[in-house]
Amino acid sequence: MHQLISLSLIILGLPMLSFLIIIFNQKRLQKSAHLIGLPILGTALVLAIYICYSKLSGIPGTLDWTTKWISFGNVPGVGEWNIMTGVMIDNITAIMLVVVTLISFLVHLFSSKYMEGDIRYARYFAYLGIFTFSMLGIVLGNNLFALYIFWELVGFSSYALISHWYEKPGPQLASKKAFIVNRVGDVGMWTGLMLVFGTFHTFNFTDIFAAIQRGLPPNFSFLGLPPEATLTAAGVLIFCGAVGKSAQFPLHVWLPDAMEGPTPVSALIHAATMVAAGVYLVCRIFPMLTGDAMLVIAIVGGFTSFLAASIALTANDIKKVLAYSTISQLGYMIMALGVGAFSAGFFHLTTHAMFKACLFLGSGSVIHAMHHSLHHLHDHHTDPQDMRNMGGLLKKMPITGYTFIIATLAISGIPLMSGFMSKDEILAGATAYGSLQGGIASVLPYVGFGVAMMTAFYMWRLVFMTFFGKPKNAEIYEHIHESPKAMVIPLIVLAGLSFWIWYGANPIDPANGWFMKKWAETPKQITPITSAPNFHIPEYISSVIPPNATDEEKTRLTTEFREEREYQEVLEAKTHDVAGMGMIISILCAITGIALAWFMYLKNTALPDKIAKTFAPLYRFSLNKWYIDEFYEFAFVGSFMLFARMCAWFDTHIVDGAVNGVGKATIVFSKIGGWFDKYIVDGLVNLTAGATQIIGLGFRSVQTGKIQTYLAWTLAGVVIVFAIIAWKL
Amino acid sequence: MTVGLNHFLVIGAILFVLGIFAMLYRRNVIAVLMGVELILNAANINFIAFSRYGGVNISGQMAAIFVIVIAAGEAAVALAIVLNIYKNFKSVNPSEVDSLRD
Amino acid sequence: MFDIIFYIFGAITIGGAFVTVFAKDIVYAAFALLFTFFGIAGLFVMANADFLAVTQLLVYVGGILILLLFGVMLTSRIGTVDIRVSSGSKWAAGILAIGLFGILMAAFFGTAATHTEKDKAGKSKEVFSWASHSTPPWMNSQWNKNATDEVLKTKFGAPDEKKTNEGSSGTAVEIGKLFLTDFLLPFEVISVLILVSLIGATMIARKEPTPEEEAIAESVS
Repeated sequence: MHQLISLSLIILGLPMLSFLIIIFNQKRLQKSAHLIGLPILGTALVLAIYICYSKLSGIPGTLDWTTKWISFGNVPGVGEWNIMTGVMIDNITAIMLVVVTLISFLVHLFSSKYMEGDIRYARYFAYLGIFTFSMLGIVLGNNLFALYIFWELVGFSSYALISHWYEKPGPQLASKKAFIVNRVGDVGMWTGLMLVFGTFHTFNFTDIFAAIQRGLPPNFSFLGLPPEATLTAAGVLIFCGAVGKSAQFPLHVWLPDAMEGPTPVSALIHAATMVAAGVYLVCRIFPMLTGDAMLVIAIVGGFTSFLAASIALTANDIKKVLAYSTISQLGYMIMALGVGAFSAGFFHLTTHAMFKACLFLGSGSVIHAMHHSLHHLHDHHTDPQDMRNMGGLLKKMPITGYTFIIATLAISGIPLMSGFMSKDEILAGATAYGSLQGGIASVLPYVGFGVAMMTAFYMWRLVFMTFFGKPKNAEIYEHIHESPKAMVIPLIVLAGLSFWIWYGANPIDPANGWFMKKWAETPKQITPITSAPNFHIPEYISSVIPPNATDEEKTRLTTEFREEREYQEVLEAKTHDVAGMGMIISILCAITGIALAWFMYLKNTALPDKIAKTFAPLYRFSLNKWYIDEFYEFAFVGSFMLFARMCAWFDTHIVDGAVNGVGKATIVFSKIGGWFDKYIVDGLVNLTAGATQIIGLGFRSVQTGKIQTYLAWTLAGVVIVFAIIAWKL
Repeated sequence: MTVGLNHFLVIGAILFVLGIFAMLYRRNVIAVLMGVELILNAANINFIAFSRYGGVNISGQMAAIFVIVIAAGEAAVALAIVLNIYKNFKSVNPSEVDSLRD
Repeated sequence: MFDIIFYIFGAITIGGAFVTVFAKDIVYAAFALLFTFFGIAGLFVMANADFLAVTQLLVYVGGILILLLFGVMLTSRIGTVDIRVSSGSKWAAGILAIGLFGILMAAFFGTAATHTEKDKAGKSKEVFSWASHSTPPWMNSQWNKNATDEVLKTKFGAPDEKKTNEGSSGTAVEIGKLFLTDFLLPFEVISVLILVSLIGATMIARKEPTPEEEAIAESVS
């Protein structure tokens, strides 16, 4: 086993250790659980940085370690059948290790002050530990099965952490919603997993890709589809899991509700890491995605980003804005992977983790201050998270404010920030894909730029409403003060990581930076040539085909060209071409968005209401989240409740009715039996008695006491005896 | 047809039946006693008939004599009883002498 | 001739019996009984039972009938009406009586037994057992075929054939002889019975002595 592999296993085990220590000593650690969590996570972080450094600087390729997990022995027809599991470290994994442990550590630090005095302080840190453990498991696994197991664990940790304050109804419902919606996605994922395993008999990524490269077996069929369509289906099904976990449409509804959990949890899980797991999954299966699958993924991502951005325009709760922003940025990442811009997508994942965590923790700091102020004023009704109660906080909370502004610059895509680099690459990739693929995909670039403008707008709306302008409530403003050091240090760290310098030398040329060029290269796709994206590549083919070639030669060269799978290179080249133009347009979009926000929320503060009134239907549509929750409630929840009611009716009326019916029948039978007993059985007895009485009376009449009667009877007897003797009667 | 045994027997039977009827039917104990006498006489006729036509030579008449004697003794005692009954029950209706009833 | 007289006496008997049974007035019944007894006596005579006929008259008519009449007179009340019974009882008695009669008739006419008998000429002939004879066998001046006759024969010798039965001597002689030989015990018993019944009847019918009469009886004895 390679040294790094064993270190990675130690990193995996450390948060689990933290969980075990804290969960069994909750009473003792009620005020000091962070003293267990912080050192352990700190160690894990150091080790992760070491691994990452070693891997990225020295070791190319993938480190793999596989071991037998479950052995089925000798299965007839298959031979020796074992389920293997193991650890894989490549560049993606190494970078993810650092991201996860860093943000987990910073969240531990932040929470030590934010959750101070909470009634379930120790439990919180324990579950943070188990979450980190699960997330590391996803990242380190070298096969889909292990990934799935940790996937579910992460879902469970999310459930446990969202419902931290489980005495309130909001967190209860939100945690259930998160878990159930996740499970819906996981159904598709499991189907896809089984589809792959059923044909290739392995869960291991490398083995699967090797098997597909060898050629799809003819029995690889899903519901009767031919092998290539089945491969598309497998890709889309596994993508369903990412739809659920990364809150893409239509399974995005759980993420805004998950804001019921504590803000550091939102930062860790619902901004930086867990939701990124879906993107990570798509990164892992990227080589086996066919052209059709990629198109589906791109469209889902694009639509999601638009949907979420449109809702964030009108949200008033500071955390809800950030939640929808997360969904929108995840949409960007998914879209990037869909259009084939793997590096850009993963790059954005990393940068987004940093600045989104900073934004969430910053909002946590603001909420914390608002909370304290309201508590001071004994005001328990005003919502500390509503931006309409804030305003002008920059003066009172400078560090929070400036770090927040830096992170917002990053998300808006302003040059010199990391976000600009990653977002720009995505937009360039989308533009290239759109022009090459044509059809529905050509709308993707417009979506991308439009969303960029909306992102800038709503983020700066948030900043202006919260940190600038006049305070909406002077009393509350009076008691605001900056957050303690433990909360502010993570903000500074994360804001610092949002600059360009970490990812490449040139702030406006990310494609040549070391992140995209060396660390996160786009892997080669191994799908069959016939299922590759159907690009229109006339201008590139012409570079290969001599001008005066015959038609036959043209066809041959085209096929050769395609066969050499250079469509990915084509895509890259096209991306490079459009990058410059894309950059300019994206900067323009960002500036437009910021200016619009400044105008509406600082200059002419009456304007938002006027626009809201003018476009009232659109405003309401956005404010009510496109009524998707209501639709789901009606369609799915309603239908299940209807089914449940039908079952209850069946149970009450038919099942219980049958039981009651048997009971009633028994009563009827017993009544009949009783009647029978009373009238017939007793009647017979009474009849006997009555007959005896009558016969007795009859015989008694013989005893009259009169001589002549006795004489008469005697003679009658004599006559009868004579008759019998005489005629032998 | 020549008078034979059967004629006597029939007369005896008629008397006997009439005596039975009187015993069962009459509402005066004296009449009941008359019935008893009729019965005894019918038996006598029977004895005599068989003595004359049957094979019992003269023993039949002997029996008849004894019957007459017994009838006389029985009539005396019966009348004594009847007088006693009359004295106690103030009635000679046998239906009213039913103290043996429960 | 014999038959006609028989029928006359029969009619008297049966007619008298009917009146006895069905007469409303008890005195009429008693007098009808008298006629019945007379008729029976006549029948006895027809059956060669002369002594018995006279005894019948003496005892029945002269004794029992008088007794019955005394009884009637002593127990009658002026105005006592013989209350008829309900028809049900009449029919029951009637049916019983007729049933009995039927049985008797069946017995009489159903048992016509025959036996072979040697004729005087020595020829065997089938005769009815109880067919009428002009004369009873023992009237044919044959000794009764019983042991007593044999004893008498040895004691007194064979009866004088000439002296006997020039015409009937009547049955009295025979009855007398039998009373003291074959039927001696019953004779004595009968006399005791008469004595007892005499005493008994007297005892039963006596008047209860009043206390003063009892005191007198006590002082006398």
